[in-house]
Amino acid sequence: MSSAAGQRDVPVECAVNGRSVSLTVRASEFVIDVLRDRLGLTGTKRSCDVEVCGACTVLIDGRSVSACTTLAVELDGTEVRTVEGLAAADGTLHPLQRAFVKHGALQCGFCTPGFLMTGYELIDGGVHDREDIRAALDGNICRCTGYVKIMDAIMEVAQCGQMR
Amino acid sequence: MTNLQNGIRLASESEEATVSDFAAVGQPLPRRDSVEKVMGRAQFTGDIQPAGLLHAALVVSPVPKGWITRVETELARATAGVHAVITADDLHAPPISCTDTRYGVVVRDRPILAADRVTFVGEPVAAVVAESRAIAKAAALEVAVEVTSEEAATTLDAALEPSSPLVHPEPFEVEDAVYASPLPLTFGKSNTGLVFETARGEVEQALARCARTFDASYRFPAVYQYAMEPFTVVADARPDLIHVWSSAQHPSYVARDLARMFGADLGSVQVSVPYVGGGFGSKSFTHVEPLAVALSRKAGRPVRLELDVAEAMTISRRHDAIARVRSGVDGNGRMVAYDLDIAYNTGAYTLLGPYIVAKGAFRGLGGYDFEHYRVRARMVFTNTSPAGSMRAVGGPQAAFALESHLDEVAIELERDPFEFRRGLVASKGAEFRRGRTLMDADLTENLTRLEGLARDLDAPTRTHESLGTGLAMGVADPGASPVSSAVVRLAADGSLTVLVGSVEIGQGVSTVVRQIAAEALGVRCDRVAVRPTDTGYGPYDASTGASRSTSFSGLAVYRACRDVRARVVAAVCAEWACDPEQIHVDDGVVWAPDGRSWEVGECVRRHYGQNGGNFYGIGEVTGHEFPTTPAFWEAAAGVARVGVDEETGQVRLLGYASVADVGRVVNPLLLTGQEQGAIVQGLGHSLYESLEWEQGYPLNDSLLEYRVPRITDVPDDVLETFVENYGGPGPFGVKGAGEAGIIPVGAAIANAVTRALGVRIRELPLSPERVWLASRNAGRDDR
Repeated sequence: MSSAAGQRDVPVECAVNGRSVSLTVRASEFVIDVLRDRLGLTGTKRSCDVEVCGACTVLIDGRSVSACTTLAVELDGTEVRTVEGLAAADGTLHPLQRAFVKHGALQCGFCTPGFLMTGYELIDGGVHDREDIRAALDGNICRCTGYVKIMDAIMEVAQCGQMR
Repeated sequence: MTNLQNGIRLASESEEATVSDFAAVGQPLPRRDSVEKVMGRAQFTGDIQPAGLLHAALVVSPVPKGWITRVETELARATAGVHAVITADDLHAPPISCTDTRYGVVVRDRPILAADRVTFVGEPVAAVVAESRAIAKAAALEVAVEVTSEEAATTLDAALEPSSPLVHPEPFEVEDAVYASPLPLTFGKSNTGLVFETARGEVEQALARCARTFDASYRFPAVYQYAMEPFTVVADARPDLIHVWSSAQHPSYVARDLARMFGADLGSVQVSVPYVGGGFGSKSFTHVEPLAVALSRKAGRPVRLELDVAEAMTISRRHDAIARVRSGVDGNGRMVAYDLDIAYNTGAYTLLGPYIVAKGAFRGLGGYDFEHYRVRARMVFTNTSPAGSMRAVGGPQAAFALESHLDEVAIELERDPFEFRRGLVASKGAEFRRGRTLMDADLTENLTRLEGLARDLDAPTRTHESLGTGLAMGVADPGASPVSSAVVRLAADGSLTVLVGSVEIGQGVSTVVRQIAAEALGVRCDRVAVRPTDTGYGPYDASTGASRSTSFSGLAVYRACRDVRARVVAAVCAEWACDPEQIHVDDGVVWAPDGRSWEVGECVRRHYGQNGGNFYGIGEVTGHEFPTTPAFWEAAAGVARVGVDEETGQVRLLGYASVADVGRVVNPLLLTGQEQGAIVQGLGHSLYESLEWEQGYPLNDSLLEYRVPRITDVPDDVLETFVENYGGPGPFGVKGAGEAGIIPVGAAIANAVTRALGVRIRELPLSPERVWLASRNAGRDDR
């Protein structure tokens, strides 16, 4: 059975939020465990464990993935960005973070890191159509807000980008 | 009567505040916690990492009902990285040394670990502590639980049969409860543990006299709250202090249970609540905290027990229900008799069941002033996971029956649904429930406001969709246990720290009490800090839920700030020899009429004669202040507009308009968020959500199979309006909010679907299969 293979240690080198990281990971280990337990980046949240809810969304080479089902070995040679890497080094919030604060696009805040990362990918990619954005956010669940204010916040930033 | 005195006292408190312009209350301030939440810096229980932390995993019952014959733990114990494996046999012996192994809200029926009998799939039987969660979970799979299965009662229908096997043949010790059961529970005769009845007039005789009578049955699904943070607890049981971090909505209650079960003083138990990743009732009362403490005592180290979604689903859920309504109208088409018989599936353990069915009974009457009514609400045990609290407990189930039924009757009588309800609702000030608080909302006005707002719902339908619009109301008797306290501390620099027992679960209590505190003392919001709830040093609060945080915790904070303000005013009056009535505190500065001023911190510094020091203020709200219940009525109503694809049975929500009576809006940004959240959570049980079991085995215990509303399910047209009549018992006239909005959603959507299809579906959720079948069968009947 694969448990023996899963126990294998694999060296991984990647950049996390702009910092280079060298790790030895288990072949069976998931990205979420590396981020939360080894790197102390607890902003990435665990919820459904089956890549449905999007709470653990991070960007690997700019693309959003669910950290709960992505194997840590796949991080080798990549650039990872988590919610902790959204604000500038001096603490200035990213426009998307500011929009979430302004619009009240969060309540308990557990889904927020995931929404921010998916939203960041969309804005970074120049997506600005309301229905395109809504469709792309289908993989992020929020149980508190009813989504209305999340749409408002992301649309505001997407449309600003459009005007620039 | 006493209620009036109450009104006068509260009016004077809010009157004082209404004279000045509000600097803080009523403002759309961003959440206090939003910056750390968007930065990923907010700490939740699963982010707490004491030195030496170990991780736990559960071993659970594999069957719905049976007797444990053997629990084989040797293999798990021998696994590398495993520190301990415990079963019920270990609980009384040192080092765990439980003084009691059972707990519960109303009766102590819940064991920490099942000792002999198991009563549902997922009931904890053993637990493993290991170096990591992965090791603990793998080792848990090595524990063999041998059970002799017994015939179980796994559905509400089956459990109600007279011949059904009994879930609980014997009684349990009654908890000396904050939440007293309205009636004693019965065990051993049937699975119906309690029948709560409330009535007025003579419903049977009235029905016999009615010009027309109606009779229909309705079904509501079991619903998983899905707080996105699955229940998590960290326990560090040291010799002198049991310290627990828990995503708990009722930390005071948890502390009380732990003290009793582990032979400790309340002063030696500390329950700290970091940010909670959603609650919706799922984290109400004690869940797995006693198990985590037992594991920490056994391992001699801090232990984290982080449930996954499948496990969290077995912690708490909303009761599924079956309701039968019989009603009658007189010759003028006025409904004069209403009889509701509703059975709630409370699962294998009682939790808050008795309280929930009693709440459901009243919520099943709505705000209507029926001449003759009777509700019988039954709490029924089954061998399924325990049902507990969920947003507006008992309400959505009963209101789905009530409001669907009213719609059916209105259609039969060819009456407009708004007009039909306007003729039935209790008028403001009416004693519409004997012995309870008078109706404090203007429901007629609410309906008129909603009717106007609903005209703005104009989202286009797709060509193949049939369009329908439906109305429903919801009236709740909230404010469970109006007991709160607060401590505030004014520092020598003029900043204020608020300690409050209500937990920040996302509802925004820490922002709202900040606004209330700023207003009550006369300081800027940004000078007010609100600390996380902690029973170790913070004040007592009965609970976080039942729409009570803004009203009751808010009132305690208001009073604590007025207490501090009185000290500040006394300090300047002693110095300046002026009348306290003439002192004005604004923006952190205390002003005398002649223009002399100190900033508030100056009062503290002068009092102590140093640069440091604190003024403490204490605020209390006690149950004695509210001689009648509820402390306020929470009223909402909603209109849903849906599109139904008759080819596929798919229902889309195209728009929703809601109205809520909130007394006064403290923070419109947060309040609209609460209301939108309630509507979309209601959309879940209306169209998608239903926990299913096959012979007691869970069928959809994963988010892959259990579908909750997504962003693509929510239309742009979600409109809400709030009625402010300043009539609430909270500071500045606030009532609670956040719950009533979910009550009407199910019936509003079902009524809309009926109007789209011309066929009535009396069971939620309105899944494509259910809608398609109903539509097809109706078509056949027509032919």
